[in-house]
Amino acid sequence: MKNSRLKYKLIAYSMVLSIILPLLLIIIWSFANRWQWPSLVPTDYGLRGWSYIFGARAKTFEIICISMCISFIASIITVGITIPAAKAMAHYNFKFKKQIEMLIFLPAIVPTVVVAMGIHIHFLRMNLGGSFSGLVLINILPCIPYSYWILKNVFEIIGDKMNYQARVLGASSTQTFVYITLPMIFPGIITALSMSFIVSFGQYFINVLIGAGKITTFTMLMFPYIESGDRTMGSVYGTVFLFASLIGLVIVEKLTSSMYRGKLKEYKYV
Amino acid sequence: MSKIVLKNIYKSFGHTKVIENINLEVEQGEILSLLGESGCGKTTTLKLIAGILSPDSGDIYIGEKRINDLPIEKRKAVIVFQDYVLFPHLNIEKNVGFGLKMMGKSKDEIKSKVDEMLSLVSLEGYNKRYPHELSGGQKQRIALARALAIEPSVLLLDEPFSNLDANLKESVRDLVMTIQRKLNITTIMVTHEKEEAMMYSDKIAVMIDGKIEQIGSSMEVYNEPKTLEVAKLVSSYNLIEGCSKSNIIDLFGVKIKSRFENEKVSIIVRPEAIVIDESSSIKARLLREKFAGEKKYLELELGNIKLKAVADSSCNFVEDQEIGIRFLEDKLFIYEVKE
Repeated sequence: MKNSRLKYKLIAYSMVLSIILPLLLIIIWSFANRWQWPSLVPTDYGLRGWSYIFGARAKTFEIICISMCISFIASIITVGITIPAAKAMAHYNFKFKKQIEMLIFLPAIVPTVVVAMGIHIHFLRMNLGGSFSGLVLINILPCIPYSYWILKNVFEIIGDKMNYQARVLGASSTQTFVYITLPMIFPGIITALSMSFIVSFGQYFINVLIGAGKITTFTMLMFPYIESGDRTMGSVYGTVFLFASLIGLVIVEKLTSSMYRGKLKEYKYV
Repeated sequence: MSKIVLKNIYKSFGHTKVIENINLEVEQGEILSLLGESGCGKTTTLKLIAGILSPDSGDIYIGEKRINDLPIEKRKAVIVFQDYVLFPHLNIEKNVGFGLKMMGKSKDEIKSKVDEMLSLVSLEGYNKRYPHELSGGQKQRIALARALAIEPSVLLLDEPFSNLDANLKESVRDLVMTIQRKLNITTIMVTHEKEEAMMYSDKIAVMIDGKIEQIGSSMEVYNEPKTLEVAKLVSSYNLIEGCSKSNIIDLFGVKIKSRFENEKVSIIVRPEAIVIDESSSIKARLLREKFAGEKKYLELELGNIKLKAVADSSCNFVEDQEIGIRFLEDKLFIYEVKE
């Protein structure tokens, strides 16, 4: 009994450690000036990286803000368009259902690089290349499969009986959606928003391609340092990226729930 | 006035015919039971009336109005589902008042109606509770209160009591039926329990494979089942295959009159049509007896046919004993065997 509990604890701790340790390393690296083998800890600490990225020349804050904006808007649009799709797929039967679902999953199967390259030409023709709206649009693409999958599962769990019950009691389809469907899928909406935000915030290649050097996102700032082997700078950006996405997640969660609860405060979730 | 009329209703899902030519009339204030085995199209019929499904052909009337093209929410035909389907994110007050809120009724109006409904189902003071805090019977009563709150023209009950345990079932059933009578609301109840259908309805429609085989009062359906399938559905039975020769059937030596001249026949012998009579020349061997309080269920063997019978529990038998039995001729049902 005691032995098995110990084993369980050991496994649990090592799993947590395997996630935490690399993160911890990044944070330590961001403060290191020199850290060479075989030293266990950095031999020289400094704020070179930090002072650079928060210096006036780096425009870090501005770029984080733009990146977050793009990701927020893209996530909201993604969830907005995947709700009806997920509901239809979960509750209705129609011809070519399987094929349509494949199409929805396509962005997750086909490498985004290929898709983005194809779209790039059209974006240029439509004057969307290098524009904010172009970036938002292209960011929706990789988010769709995730948001769709989460929401479809939620719709499947809830079923459509609740909706019918509401309709039978005299609610129009709009009223049913607002008073029954939305509150019931709400936890799913939060998850889908957060997931989309993370996916979008981590995009690199499509941003480079569509941004065309006119708009810089945070990942574009990070990449050159990671590539060139400047570990200190790479780690600083990595840390900032980590916290930025965390803050983004918190904002998504707080904003949506306060907005929603404010509107329908008499409703409580079970 | 809210009479329900169904005329020549057909409905298929893909290539499967679910409802075939259903004609039905339920008068204002009546309870009609749709009795049938699962998968026979009972619930589909309810959904057609409520508007959750639309028929392939045929007309549905509530009152004098044809409602085929009326959207679900305008029909005022409320279904109470087997599993109650209470809205989990709303408290009892909001659940019961849901329909009224959707109609745009004022807060005071909703409040007084909700209180009225809760006292009708004897759940006063439950306003602020949530569905997950209630027991099965309470949920069922709330579902009913919610349905009745909008003063529907038609109440549709889909196996409403099948999820309740035996003791609870009886009391909830009585309550629901008393309320139905009090409000005089036209009701269709779907059930697969023959006793429930017979005890609580004015009319029974026996459904088999998407068709209505017989409609009539409980007594009619029980005492004069029109077809073999109906007879099998409305009571427990023994099925004996026989032959009719010149309008006479020989049932273990007993000559029985038959309306078929020369035909293969199926004879339905209900357990209560077998009477213990020691003076009878027909002797059956007792295989097993089951004591059930006020009565005993007997398993008899006659020739090589097993028969179910009931006897008063005061009778004393030993297993393997030869028992004299007699058939009540007016309680035997004879049907032609269809090729």
